[in-house]
Amino acid sequence: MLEVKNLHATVDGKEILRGINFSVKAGEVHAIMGPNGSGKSTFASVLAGNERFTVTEGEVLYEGHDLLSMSIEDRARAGIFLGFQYPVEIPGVSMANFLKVALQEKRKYQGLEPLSASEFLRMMRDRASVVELDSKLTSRAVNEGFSGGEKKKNEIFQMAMLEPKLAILDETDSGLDIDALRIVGTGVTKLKRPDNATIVITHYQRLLDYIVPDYVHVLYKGRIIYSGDKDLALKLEKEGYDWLINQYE
Amino acid sequence: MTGSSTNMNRAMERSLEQQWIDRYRADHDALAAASAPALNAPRKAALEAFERLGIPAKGSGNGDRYHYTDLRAAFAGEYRRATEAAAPKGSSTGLDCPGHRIELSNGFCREARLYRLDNGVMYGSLAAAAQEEPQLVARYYGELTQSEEDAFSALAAMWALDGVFIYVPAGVKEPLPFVIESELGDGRDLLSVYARHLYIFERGSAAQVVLHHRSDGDASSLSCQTREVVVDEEAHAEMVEVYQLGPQAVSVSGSYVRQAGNSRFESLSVSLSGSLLRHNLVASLDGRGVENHMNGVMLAGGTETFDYATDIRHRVPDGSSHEQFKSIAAGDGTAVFSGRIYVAPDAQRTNAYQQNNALLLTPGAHVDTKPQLEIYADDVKCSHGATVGQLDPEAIYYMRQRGLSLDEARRLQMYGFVREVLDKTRIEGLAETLDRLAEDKIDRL
Repeated sequence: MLEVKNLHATVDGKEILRGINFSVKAGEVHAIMGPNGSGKSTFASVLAGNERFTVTEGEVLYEGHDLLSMSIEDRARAGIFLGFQYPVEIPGVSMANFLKVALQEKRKYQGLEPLSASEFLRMMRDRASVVELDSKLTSRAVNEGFSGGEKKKNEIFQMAMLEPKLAILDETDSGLDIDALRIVGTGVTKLKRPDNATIVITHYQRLLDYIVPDYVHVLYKGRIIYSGDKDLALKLEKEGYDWLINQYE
Repeated sequence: MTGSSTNMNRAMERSLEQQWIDRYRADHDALAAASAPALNAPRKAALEAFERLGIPAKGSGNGDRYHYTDLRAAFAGEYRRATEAAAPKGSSTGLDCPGHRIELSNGFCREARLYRLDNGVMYGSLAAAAQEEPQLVARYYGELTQSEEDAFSALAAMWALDGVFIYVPAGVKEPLPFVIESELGDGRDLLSVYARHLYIFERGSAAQVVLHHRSDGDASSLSCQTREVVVDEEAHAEMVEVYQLGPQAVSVSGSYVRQAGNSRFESLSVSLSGSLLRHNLVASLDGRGVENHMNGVMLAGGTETFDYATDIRHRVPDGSSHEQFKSIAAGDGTAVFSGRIYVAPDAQRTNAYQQNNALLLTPGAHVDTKPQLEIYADDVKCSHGATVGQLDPEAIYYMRQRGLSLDEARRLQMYGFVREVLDKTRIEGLAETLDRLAEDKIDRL
């Protein structure tokens, strides 16, 4: 599904990603961990197409296509979803209207008929329940006045609506209390299918209790320095990153 | 807006003001003969005021109230006066809003009559009201307009022959809004239009007014109109005004509101199109416990200039005022907001809030914003804020990541920006109409 080869990227002339090699197959869950400033969020942003970052070297193939030549919106329509670490408030734009446009754009891109108003409403109700999102929130402006937990649940709700092939969750667990963490974690697990894949970026092992990864990677100074299975996350939680970093340097 | 070359040469020899004074002197007898005493009463004093005040130049006059916009250029031209309503057009392009409909054309009510409802409400032509209800009109007419302090208000007083009259008696809560469809233009250039309007909302009454200003075609026109709104004790009034004028239409309007104790007045003014739209919105909070809401939206593209000057006067204690204006300027468009808040020395416990947020989309576009606070009381909560910015790139990235195109993301953000203000109206079904009109304009910015 996703093939990342020797990816280098800079922001404001400073190199953040320094040769990432990484691949994801359908049905897999990958966790990316690593200390602050190692480039985890940058990696997610570059995959999503954030224009603040410049790719200087390497290539990314998504379902055989050159991802880096695609616009932000075409990546999204082709099934890439980024769960934002800091979801953005959009005053005056209702969740329902926003998602309707997003969903119809995606369906158009995929050559599907637009959903009827009643199908859309039914889908909204359905998917809101996946993350126990108060349905009143869907008539409010996007993320405006949402609590931290509501914003994160709202990200997973949007993921449930848009049914991505590849979901990248950028520190979705940050700022969540135990209940919200469980809801978000089990929500993502409910959305798991054999034909989609998830990349979970996290600082902590606790989210991985709910979203069990097939692979755990450690990102450090813009490179993946170590990969393992889910037990690696437990070890990192207990022992920190120093043993890996010492080994690397 | 040019006349023939002979006219131009002759005009150049006289001052701009003298041209308007001469024009008025030529019209004077015809105006006097056509009007009831109440409308004729203020003309002489208005002329004298105009002679004294002159048309303010950009950056001067009227305590800087006309600082940002050049109105003199708009008044240069051999204007002719509208003397009657233009012939009605077959197709209606009015707002889709049910209510008591009043049609104005070039400042004249198409039906020169006063309607009377069973509950005592009267509405219709001001000229008709001045004939049929001379005492009521004379009691309020000219009390609030400041036609001796403002040149444009003076021009309206000098020339007005008609306008809209609305009267809601004490205790009556009128369920249907008054919907005024006002058309400008007669298909030929250099038409000048004058009108004065008077709304009286008596003690404990409730009413809603919707005004839709429209231009017929691309011919040049100049409109000077003033409105007096009397909101008595415990009355609740809401007013929504939409300007959808043609590319050569200039409008200078004044809205003068006086509120008595515990009354509530809400207004929303939306400037969608026109060459130059200048609005003076003045509210005098004369009774205790008054609530005033003044909101506005400007969507200026091309070479359009929209200029709002608000003036809230807290005269007594315990009043609150809330102003929110949002503007988007694109192309070479200009959006101006200057908001004055005056708090009298004994107007303690006043709560005044003012906010102006502007989006500047292009290098050629222009936004001016100026709060002007004059506070003479010491126990006052008064806050103001102004922002001028671009669209939020983070929000646009977020929306594109969900599959919206760059263009859609920009538009959705602009829709949302103004919707916050447009959706404040409580008139049934009107917010959707306003949203749609604003979205049409945003798509063309």
